[in-house]
Amino acid sequence: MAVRSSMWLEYQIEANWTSPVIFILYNTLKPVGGSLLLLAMYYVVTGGFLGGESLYFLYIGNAFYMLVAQTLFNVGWIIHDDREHYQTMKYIYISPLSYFMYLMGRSAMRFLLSLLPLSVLIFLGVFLKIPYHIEVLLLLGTFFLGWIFVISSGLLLSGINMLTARHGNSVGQAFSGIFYLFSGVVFPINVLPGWASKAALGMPSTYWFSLVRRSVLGKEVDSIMSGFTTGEVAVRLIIISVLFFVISYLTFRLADYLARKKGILDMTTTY
Amino acid sequence: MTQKGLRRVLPSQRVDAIACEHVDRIFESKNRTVQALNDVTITVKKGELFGLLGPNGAGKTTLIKILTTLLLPTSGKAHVYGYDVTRDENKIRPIINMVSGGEYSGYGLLTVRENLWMFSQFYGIPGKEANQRIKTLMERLGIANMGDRKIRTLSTGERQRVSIIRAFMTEPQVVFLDEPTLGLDVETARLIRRFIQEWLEKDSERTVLLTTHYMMEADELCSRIAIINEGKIVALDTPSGLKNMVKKEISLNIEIFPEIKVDWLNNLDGVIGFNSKDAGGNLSLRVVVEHDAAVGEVLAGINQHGGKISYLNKEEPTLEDVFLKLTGRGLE
Repeated sequence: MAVRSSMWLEYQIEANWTSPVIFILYNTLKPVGGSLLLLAMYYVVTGGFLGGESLYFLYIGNAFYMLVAQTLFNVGWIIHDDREHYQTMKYIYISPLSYFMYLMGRSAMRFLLSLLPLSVLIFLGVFLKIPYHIEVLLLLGTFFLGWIFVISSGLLLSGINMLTARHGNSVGQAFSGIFYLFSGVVFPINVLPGWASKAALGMPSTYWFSLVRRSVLGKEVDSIMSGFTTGEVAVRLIIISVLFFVISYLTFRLADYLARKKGILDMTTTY
Repeated sequence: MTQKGLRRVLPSQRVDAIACEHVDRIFESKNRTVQALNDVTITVKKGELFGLLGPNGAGKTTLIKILTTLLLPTSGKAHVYGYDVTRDENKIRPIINMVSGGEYSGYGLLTVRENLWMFSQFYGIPGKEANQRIKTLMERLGIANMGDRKIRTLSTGERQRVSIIRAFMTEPQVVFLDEPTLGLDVETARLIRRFIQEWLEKDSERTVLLTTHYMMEADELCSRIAIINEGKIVALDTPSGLKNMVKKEISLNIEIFPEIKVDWLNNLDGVIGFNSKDAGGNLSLRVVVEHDAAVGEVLAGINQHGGKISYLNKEEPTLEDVFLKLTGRGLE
């Protein structure tokens, strides 16, 4: 019930400023517009618009990246917003509700809200002649694993934000920017320098985007990731996600302890 | 008292509501080290309304933060209902709540009812029961017609009433009130004080720890008061017991014009403490002296320093006089 309440709170904070219709339009058009802008840039750079695996790679990668970016950007705000703007964090923190579960609820709602513009982008892909070959079960599993990896990142981010002041959105953007650059979102990881390609293979996001392409396009076009079977990608994603979650959770607990030790759980800064 | 979905494990009935033993809290930063609490030892029994009286920066909020599991002590032990604040926070949280004064907490875009309902869910109170409690408390605190108003449209006093409801609707065993009437108008402050008293009277197990720098509030509400100054408990007794400490002393209220400097009182023999404040071009001075002879010396000193006395009154000792005697400075 408490997690549901935190999900409800997330929805209210996101949507309560306007009517539901305007919110749905805003929630959809903003990220969709961003993706279409990237398409326009692709057109300018390549001179062509349709066809070509690089377009499919870019379009699908960018559409699903939105789930990561929007959720992380939002999670980056939660602690600073609650602590400094609404000044409610200390009251939530001392309630019997686990603060960890509260953050899970908030991030889950943001993840769900990002599914709508993603659906619109997938639909628009039909007009771009994206060769869809959707494997529903694999896609559902991919969403679930994606949520695990995103909340793990969110936990790590929340841990940092517990100890810092007012850098929530920039830290969130930096986090999601790392995934954007090194996970094969809009270009294959084989174009990265050698060290970066190796680093990419240690990140859960790389396997997640590979699973995304396999579940939506029915194949992998990245030459490095093509070397793995779908099963291998899924197993690697699960193992790295679990490790990532454990590391993130422990980091969050450590940050929680340090924040309590330093007495900054109710910090308000004018920075 | 057990609520659905809420783990309330109350230990032995014989434990004290709050127990602090030699609690120290030191804040260290690059530039300075501040000892916010220095060897604080207090015990608050169940059913008590215990006051912590001291000026701003005395350490009152730091102690509340430790007891509400928001802050770890540097050393010493602190227990709430027998549970250790450093280890048993999950057992403490269901049985406590807190209200801080002088802040603007709450989700401004949500209505009063939505804000309160959301917090009730964080405490696992079933929806129907939560709505009933919210309704009853809103009526009791005179904001029954404000349920659909957004928090951001409320005045300071109205917001504070919402904060009070947020804390008390969870039916805590121990409530921590940190300057709950700070910045409120007289009527709202009185309403909140009356509410706190009535809430305590309904159940002998309920306990309140109140911090304030309003001596009248502490005097009116508290069964016992600890006076805290620079992180140290300097006295602990009933309000009358504390006032007995200055029974023999003489408290003077003096209005002086024009405003003069009164630092010389520090060196005057027989002056225990004084507190002065600007009163629109005049100076309002409260002095506690040891004996009648010192009264004459104070009055003569004012005259020598160019001040004229427009009002002079000898008063019954107050908690502020106790504070002046113990620390040599005023509460404000």
